[in-house]
Amino acid sequence: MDTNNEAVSNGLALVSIPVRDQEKSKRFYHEVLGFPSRGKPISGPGRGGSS
Amino acid sequence: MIQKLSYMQLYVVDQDASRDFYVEKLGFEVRTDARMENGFRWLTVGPKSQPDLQIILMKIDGPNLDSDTAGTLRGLLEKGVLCGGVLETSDCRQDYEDLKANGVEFSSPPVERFYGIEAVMKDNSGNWFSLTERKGN
Repeated sequence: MDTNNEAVSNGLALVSIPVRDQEKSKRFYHEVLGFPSRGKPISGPGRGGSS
Repeated sequence: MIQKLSYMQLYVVDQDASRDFYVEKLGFEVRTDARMENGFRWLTVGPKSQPDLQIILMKIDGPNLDSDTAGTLRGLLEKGVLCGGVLETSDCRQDYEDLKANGVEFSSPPVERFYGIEAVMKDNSGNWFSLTERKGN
């Protein structure tokens, strides 16, 4: 591969942080840090759903 | 007010090998490679398309972690359970072929998902990433 042509052309779109409790984490990031909620809750095959 | 995420951190086994992987395999650029007086090495890389994001490649055997914690992290990396996130691409299948030919290890080939086409790859420490072409790209 020509390393001048970046393989991941659009960059890093999401980062992952392990958490103990997703609901608590969601509230922390939204209510404490002020992060906006992104998009509508979705679920689908392959990842056990997400919200 | 928090404005943006400018750095994220990955634990790596060998900083030289990781630098080579991210630069030579993924085409990232080195943003900082500096050594402190105590031997601590601050090494960051980033995708060329994201100049405001730096990925810290932190050595697990560095001065910030005791040996037990470093051993735990090494075990998690070996198990392949630490996720770095989602690398977005405009052509997952082509990147999969290119990266695989260039020696990048994949645990899953490109698969159609409801959100797009996704392959799963690992860096040379064991951190895994989703390589995703989002639906609608």
